[in-house]
Order: sequence, then structure tokens, then C-alpha cells
Amino acid sequence: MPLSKSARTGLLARVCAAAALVLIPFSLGIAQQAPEQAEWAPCAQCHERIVKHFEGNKHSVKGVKGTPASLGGGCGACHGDISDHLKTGSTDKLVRLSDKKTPADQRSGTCLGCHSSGRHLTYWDMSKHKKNEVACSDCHNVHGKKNRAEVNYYRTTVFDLEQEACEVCHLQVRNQFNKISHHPVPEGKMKCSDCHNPHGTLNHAMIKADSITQLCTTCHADKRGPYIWEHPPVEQNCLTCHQSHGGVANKLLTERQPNLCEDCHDWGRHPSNFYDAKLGFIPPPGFPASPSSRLVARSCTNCHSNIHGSNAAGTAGKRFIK
Amino acid sequence: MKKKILACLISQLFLVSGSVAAAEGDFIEIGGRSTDESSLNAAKLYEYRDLDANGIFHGQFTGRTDNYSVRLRGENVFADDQFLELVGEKYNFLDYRIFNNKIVHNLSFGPVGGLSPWVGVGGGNLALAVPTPGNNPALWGPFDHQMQRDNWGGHLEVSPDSPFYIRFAANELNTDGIRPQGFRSTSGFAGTELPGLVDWTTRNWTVETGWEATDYVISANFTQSRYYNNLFNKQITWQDPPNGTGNSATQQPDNVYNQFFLNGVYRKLPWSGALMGKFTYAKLENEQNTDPLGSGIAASTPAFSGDVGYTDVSLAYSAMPMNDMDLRVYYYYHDRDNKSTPVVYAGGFLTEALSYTKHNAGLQVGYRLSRANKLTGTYDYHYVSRSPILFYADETTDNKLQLEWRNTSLENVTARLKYWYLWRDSNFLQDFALPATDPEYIRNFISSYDVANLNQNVVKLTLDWAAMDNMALGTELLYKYNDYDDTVIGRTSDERYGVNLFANYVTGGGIKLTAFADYENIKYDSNHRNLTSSCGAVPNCFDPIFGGVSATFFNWSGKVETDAWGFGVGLDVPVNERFNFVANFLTQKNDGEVNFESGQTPLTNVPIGISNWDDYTKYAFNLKGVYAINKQFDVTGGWTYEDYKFRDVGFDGYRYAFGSDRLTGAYANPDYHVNVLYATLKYKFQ
Repeated sequence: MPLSKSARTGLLARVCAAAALVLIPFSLGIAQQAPEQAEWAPCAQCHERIVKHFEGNKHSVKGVKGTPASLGGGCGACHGDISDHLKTGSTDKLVRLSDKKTPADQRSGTCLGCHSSGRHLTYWDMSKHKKNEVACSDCHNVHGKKNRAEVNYYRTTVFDLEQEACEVCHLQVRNQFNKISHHPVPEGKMKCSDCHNPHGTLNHAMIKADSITQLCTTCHADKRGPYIWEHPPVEQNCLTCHQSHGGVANKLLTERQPNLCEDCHDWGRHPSNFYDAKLGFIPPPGFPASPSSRLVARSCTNCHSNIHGSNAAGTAGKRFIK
Repeated sequence: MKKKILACLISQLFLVSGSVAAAEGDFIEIGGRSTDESSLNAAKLYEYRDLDANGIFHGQFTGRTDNYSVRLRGENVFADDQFLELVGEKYNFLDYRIFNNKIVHNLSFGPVGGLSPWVGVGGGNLALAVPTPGNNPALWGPFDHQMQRDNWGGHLEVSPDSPFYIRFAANELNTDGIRPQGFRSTSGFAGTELPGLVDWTTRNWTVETGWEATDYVISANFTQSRYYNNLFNKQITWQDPPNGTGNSATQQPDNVYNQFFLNGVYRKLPWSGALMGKFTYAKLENEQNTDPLGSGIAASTPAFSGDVGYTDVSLAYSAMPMNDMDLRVYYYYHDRDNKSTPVVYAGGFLTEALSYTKHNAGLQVGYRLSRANKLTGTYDYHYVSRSPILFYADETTDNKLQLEWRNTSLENVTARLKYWYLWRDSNFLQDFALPATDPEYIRNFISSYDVANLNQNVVKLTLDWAAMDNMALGTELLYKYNDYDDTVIGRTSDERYGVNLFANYVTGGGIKLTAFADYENIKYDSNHRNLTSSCGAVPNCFDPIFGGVSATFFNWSGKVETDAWGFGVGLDVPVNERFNFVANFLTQKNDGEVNFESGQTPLTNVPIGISNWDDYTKYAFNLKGVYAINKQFDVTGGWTYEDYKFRDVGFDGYRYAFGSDRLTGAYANPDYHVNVLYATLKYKFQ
């Protein structure tokens, strides 16, 4: 493959990244301090892996205001009275945050006891997740427990996919992302939370902008315009023509062209004609070859490439052909 | 480039000394990959992945003291899909993040997926090679349709030990490459597909400050986003392959988008209520010439000022009036005020600067009938007014009623049944004063489906069954039917149903088995009328209901149907303390078709249905083994096989030049199969 311009000019960035990757670990001292005897040490006797993961996240840092570690009480800070459990193994008095038998508001309540003041939860009360009784622990993995086998096309990325947390419930969305035309979420180059705020927004579908169009043009700024000649559905809702997650038609279109375009454009000239199998490169037996650029290849956009808007003068701009 | 140096320096600044601890999961992984592909155009295989036979380099390191933390992650370092991230924090005071995310988007590879008669591919001026290759693709040169997004950015947030915070964020996204673009040429060549240059820069910065308290949160934010199209004069020029005639087409204009918003929540209200609100004002602007291509077409003004304002107001109140009842009330106002310069071109062609206003309000009440049964009802009202619109709907009103029943009567089973009915009333701007022999008359019958009168029914059932502590099963069933019942010309209905299944099981020995299966059927039906510009002897020829029928004036319909299947199964086996084995299999399939019915009289052109309409099949099989040499070192080896076949009436038997059309080969011949072998050595910081 040819080397892209950004790849050519990114040499310093690569050197920088490599240096940081190597130097930071050594500077920080690979030889680590021996962990001090913490309140959760007794729990580690049985739950070694869980405790080890806990020690790797912010909850175990005494210097962070409000963490279980800073408040004292060890695992009991979140799991309630653990004394019986330590003595007899009984789980009766434990608050089990991942136990679905415990009502979601109780499970979330443990987390919200500390986290409710954050701006990230400003709209939690309006979120569909709260309404549908999704608890914090249904998505957040405090103990690093991964209980699923990965079922994904080969990806070059290695860090956990955020999508894996979402697709447990959003089965249809998972299916859409597996379709041939999709945003690069399964490849690990985008996240669900790039577009949605799972903690709630004041919009439908919990999107992170005031409208669909404004959301999409956050990344696709080239489609913003303003254009001299606008295409009204583009300015109102990208989802009139595109699927947000994935589909079978190229460019995440809801339907293949020309059918998609003809669903609205049926006035004079060629949009009023049907484009059948005879107009492909290979016609059915008994018919002469007469391919039409209105059906084959990119169909309507073989000519109307500026479909999102044009600045050309006169009818060439009006029809998005220049 | 300065930004990249800065990123490097900042990362070094946070090399804190003192006792620190690496976290579980920190590692450095290096290795290599061998890719053996077989394809004429492998771009689909590489679409978002840099699978080149190359080195592999990933890493993560987390350092932490009682006052600081820093985490550096790198994924695909040095590759086209590189991701780098440095996040750090001084606890209770500040946090920061610096990142680089590269997304490669391979669209189509030459020679069969990218072939051009022009020299200067990768530029904005495409001149014909000499001697002129004309319409003979054998003389054209290969290139790749490929785009690379390179996003650098970061944030710094200061939040001293108080509810106050202030946050700065910025990023620069550079996109460059070549994409297929097709335009009509002045010398009559209809579809002329070009290797269109992409050279874009988007710079964003934002500042936000606010106050976070337990009872309320308030914040203010200003964001600016500037988009630059670095293409000279924002246009692409080319010579027609057959005759060398010069042509040009416009490209995306620069723009600047400024946005300010205020938002907040207050939680100490009656009934455990919370009042949430947001106000946003945004403005999108640019300046352009009304005849950038120098066509000489007279315009009412030489300059165009793009000026679009967006105003949004959202208010929502959430409460629990009773123990078993929850309530949500909301109102959302969205206004797009387009004050861009109106332009009238010679011939009376007037631009339409679209403005619209939306009012969306709703009430949602949830009531727990019993411990195991909850019923939620929602009414949603959505009104849109648009101007100025010619032959379109200037007003639409959507009313939606939704009922949802959630049941947990069966142990470990959660069932949710949701139904909604939406009806839309549109106010079409029709003009029946015209005679049915006027070509404009037909527009009275054309309804764009996004604003057409609509009856929508949706049913969704989800079942989640935690059969055992270590077993989960999920089912989702969906049926959706849109009936544009008053539409004469346009989409008349669309219907979809789907089944999605998921299962997960973990044995006592830690073996994980995950599987899913999906099926979806989608149908789109539409009515059309074949027309020419003049009625001739056909009475009221532009009336699709009562008009006459002939060989050129007749109604026809198209029915599109697609069936899509998906299946996947994965196994994760910890064979022993040292060796872990992973295997998975996935397949996706789509089968699409189009059927036509024609009222042509006499029937001289019998429509032939299309059986290969975005048909594809994809298989993938992955095997991976991870062996722990000791506590510090893992060695990983894996093999992947993928096979993809695509059949579509628009690409089967692809040709580059036919009639008055010239194509580049974009997206042609995408079938591939590939074997990928990889091996890595991982050092784990314990």
C-alpha cells in the first residue's frame, strides 16, 4: 500500500511514542514497592484475582478523595457488612453488585452514593438505562472479570472493546455492526460512547449532540456546508438515507441506489425510469449488453457525487452534478 | 508537528519519581504478522485494518503513587491504524489526556479497483496522459482509493479539591487520500468517475467550566470547530478522456462552527424530582463565490455568505410521585435558521436556504403493578415547520404512543414487550391549479418518505434469562412496519422483522462459550410513473391516478427485499495454568433482490427482476493460543482465515468505459480470501 502523507510526516510522533513507551515504564521503576497490608488483604486469600485487579484501579488509592481506600473499610465500603462472610463464608449480608436478583436501583445506589455529584451523571435521571433498570455494574467492570469468549472478526487492536459491554443487551446493534458496511467499531477504532452518552442526555437515543446532523458532522465536518445548493434531507437528518451502525448497502445507506433515491425523486428525466437487470454489465440471457451508469457501480452518485450539497452555479449545482 | 513534540514532552514531565506500582495488565507486546491474501481488489479486507505483513507493537503501562497516576497505551504503534494514549492525573487537582488515533479507510485498490487515464492522481488537477489513453483502460494507470484519518488531541482539566472544574480540550484531524467522485462533464459525458483528492483539516477546541455538587450541577461550554479543505480553489479539474475537454467540479467549502451551551440539573425537588435543562446556540459560517467554476452563468450576487444558526432548548423533569410510580416530562426545541445569501441564477433557478423549527414534547409514566410487573406509557409529540420549501411538506406532526411491559415473574428471566404506534400528518404544498398536462403536475403526487403521511407500528420483545450464575441467554425480536398510506408516487411502505439470539456459558473450569445468531428481513415497496416531457396523445399524462397509459407514460412499482443472516460462536479454553486456547467462527450473509411490475401499454420493455442486489457471504475462522512461559512472559500465536464473496448487478462483469460513461473501477471485484499468521511475545509488568 502507498505510504500516506500523514504516515510520512508522522516520524517524530512515532519516535516520541516509542520513547515514551519504553522510558515511562523504566522511569517509574519496574521494580515495584511491596504492597502494604491493606484492609482488603484478608479477602485476597480467596479472591486473589479480584483483589489484584482492584489494586490496579483508582478505588484502591488512598490519596483520591472519597475512594473506598481513603474511606477505610476495605471491600466492605461497597459490599456492606462482610464480617459474616469472613467468618463463615455466608453471603447473606453481602451487597452483591453484580447479582441481578438485587434490584438495579439498589446496586446503582452503592455507586451513586459517591458518584452522583459528577457532571457525567447530570442527565442520569432521564436516561433510558435508568428507566430500563440498568445498574452501574451491568456495564462497569470494577473487578476486571471478563466472562465471555470473544466472537469478532480478526482485529489488529488489542484493548477491550467498549462495544462488548453494550452488545450484551443491544443484540440488534451488534448484528448491524457485523454487517459489511459499518462504522469501525468492531475494529476498535470507534466506540459506542463516541456518539452516545450511556449515562443519559436530553435527546432521543442518548446522542451526544443536539441533533443527528450536528452529531455526524462532528467527525464528518466536510458535510457541514453551508452550501449554495442544499439537499433538504441532509440538513434535517442524516438517518433519512444512512444507517448509523451498519447495513448491507455501501456507505451505510439504508437501501441500495438507485432505489433509495427514487423513493423521493420521481419527477421527469431519468429518476422516473426503472433500472432492471437488463441494464447491468451482464444482462440476462437473450438481452443485449447495454449497461446504464444509473444502475451500475455507484449508481446515482456516478454523476451526483456532491449529493450532500454543491456550490456550482445554476442547474449543475441544483442537481449536485458539479 | 509542534503538537507532537509537545505530546512527547508532556509525557516525560509526568515521569514521577518515588515509589510507584505498575498495575495488573501492564505489558509490552512485540511480534510479527504474515498475510497471504488472494484478491483482485483487497481493499475490503483492509478496509479499517492495517493487515500488512509487518511488525506488531502494543503496550500499556500504568504508574501510580498516592498522589499521581499515569497510563500510557499504544496499539498498532507505527501502523496505519495506530492508537496512542497518555492519561494522567494529580489526584484531587488535575487530569489530562493526549491521544493519537489513526483510522485508515481503504476503499478500493488498483489496478482493478482504481484505474485512471489521468496523470496527477493525488492532485486536484487531472490531465490526460500523453499519448492520450482515451477509452482504452489497458492504457490507464493504477492507483488506490484510500483515505487516512489522523487525529491528534487531548484535554487538560483542573478540578481543585472543590466542586469547581475547568476543562480545555483540542484536537486536529487531518484526512488525506483519494476517493471516488463522479460528475457530469460539459462535453456530454455523463458519469465520469475521478480519483478525487481528499486533503482536509478539522481543528476543534473547547473550554468548559462548571460546578458539580450533590444537589445540582451547572456548566458552560464554548466550542469552535474549523474545517479547511486544502484543495486549491475548492475544486477538482479534469480532462474528458475521449476528447480532452476541460471540466471542473466544486468540492466541500471551508466552514467555521461556533457553539455555546449552558446546562445543568437540580435534584432537590418534590417527589425526589430532578429538573434538567440545556440551552445551546451555534453558528455555522463560510464565504464563497457564487460561480466558483467560472461557468459564466449569471447570478444575482457574486458572493455567497453561508450563515446558519442553531438554537436548542431542552427541559426535562424526572420524579417519583409515588413509591411505585416514576414520571418524566420533557420539552425540546430545535431551530435551524438559515440566513445564507439567497442566489438567483440565470433561468430563474433560485436557491432554497432551508430553515426549520422543531417542537418535541412528551410525557412518560411508569407504574409498578406488582413486584414483578411494570407498565410504562409514553406519549411523544413532534412538530416540524419548514421554510421555504417548494413542493414539499412545510409542516409535519408526529404523534407517538408507546406502551412497555416489563415482567420478572419467572426466576432469573426479564421480559420486556414494547409496542408503539406513530402517526404522522403532513401538510404538502400542492398546486392542483396546474393542468394534468403540465410536467409540474406530477409533483403533487410525489411524497418524500421522510415527510410523508405515515402510520408506523413497532413491536419489540426482549428476553434475558440468567439460567444459571454462569449462563446467560438473550433474545430480541423486532417487527417494524411503516405504511405511507397516502403516498401515490414514492415509497409506499417498508417492513422489517428480525431475530437476534445470544448465549454465553462459563464452566466451572473457566471454559467460556459464547454464541449468537441473527436473522433480518427488510422490504421496501415503492410506486413510480415513467414520464417523458410531453404528453403527445396521452390524456392527462402527468396524473398517475387518472392519466392515460402508453409506452412512455405508465406506472410501475419496485419491491426490494433483503434477507440477512449472521452466526458466530467462540470458545475460550484455559487448557492449563500456562496455556489458553481461543477459537471462533463467524459468518454473515445477505441475499437481496428487486422485483418490478410495469403498467406499460403496450408492454414492449418487460422489466427483469434483479436477483443479485448487495449479495455477499463472509466467513471467518480464528484460532489463537497464549502460552505463559513464566509470570513475566507470554507467547501468542494465531491464525485467521477469512473469505468474502460479493455479487451485485452493478459490479458483476465490471467495465471501465461504456456509452458516455467512464469509471475508475471503484469497489469492483472485492472478493478475497486471506490467511493471516501472527506471533507475539508479551512482557507483563507484575
